[in-house]
Amino acid sequence: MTNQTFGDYVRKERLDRNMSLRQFAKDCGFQPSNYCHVENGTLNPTPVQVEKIATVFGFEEGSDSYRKLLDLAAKARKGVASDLQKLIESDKLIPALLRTVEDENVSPEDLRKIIEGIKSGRYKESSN
Amino acid sequence: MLERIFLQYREKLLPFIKEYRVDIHLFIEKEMGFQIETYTNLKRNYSCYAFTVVGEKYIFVDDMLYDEDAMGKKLRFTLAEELAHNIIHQDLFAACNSVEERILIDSSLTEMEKDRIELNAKALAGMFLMPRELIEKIIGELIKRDILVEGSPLCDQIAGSICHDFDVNFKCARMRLRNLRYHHRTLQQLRNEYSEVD
Repeated sequence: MTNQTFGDYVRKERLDRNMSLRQFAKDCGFQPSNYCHVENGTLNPTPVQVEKIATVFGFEEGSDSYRKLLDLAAKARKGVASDLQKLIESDKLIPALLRTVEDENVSPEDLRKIIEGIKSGRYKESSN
Repeated sequence: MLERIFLQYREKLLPFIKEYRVDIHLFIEKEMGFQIETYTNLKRNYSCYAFTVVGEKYIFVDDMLYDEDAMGKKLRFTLAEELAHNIIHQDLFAACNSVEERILIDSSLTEMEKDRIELNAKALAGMFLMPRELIEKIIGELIKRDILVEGSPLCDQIAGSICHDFDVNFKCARMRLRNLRYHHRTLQQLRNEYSEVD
């Protein structure tokens, strides 16, 4: 699903786990009627609530599912995913890196290559 | 007729039954593909707890009913009743896209028609929440454990003993038992029926 919303994603994951809407809402600490609005997209959950949803789903921090949940939540509230926010705040080089990408007009292809390079361990070797 | 309609869904319902309790909420969402939404002050403003947008497969429920723990059993029955309306009165409510339209349709019906529609929906809802074979199974246990006594109305005794297992209100359990005509049986008849089964 290319245009999957936060509500769509959470609903699918919830039903895959055979959790009813009302019970899931309670497990996540929502008032059930409010949670209905989260799934239909009329209410954006706070980052703390998103974390709670991730916990109830059993998503491991840093996993693809976890990151997808955070990204979709951030997209819904037109913000930055809470894990990225923490990263930006915790490391001064991250904002510098992002600004450099912006200033130097690095193309998406080049960015992908950089990501692949980091993943390949090339930079680990050179720093050792 | 309603029993025959229910049989079309019986197999699909089985995975949603844990011991006696039917997870009607999950069945409606997962198996029947409905989205459940809450509606603020639905009961207060429109005197109904729920309504369905048939074409879009949305069931709207009063938010207070949805939120209050004490209303959990009532909510389960309301959802089952809306599902029943969707199954047996689909044509009647096909054009209904809002609560106002639902009320308009209701107001176009005679009192007798309204009663018949409500009774049928409630009866089918009861079948979903309390399938016949599970009722027979639990009554068999009540007979074995000699819990039922002579003298007080049998339907009420059974309803009171089983409503918690099915997670429904006493009223719902009694209605279902009456629809299965348990109010026409005596305790001795029941004992005989179940001893034959054994």
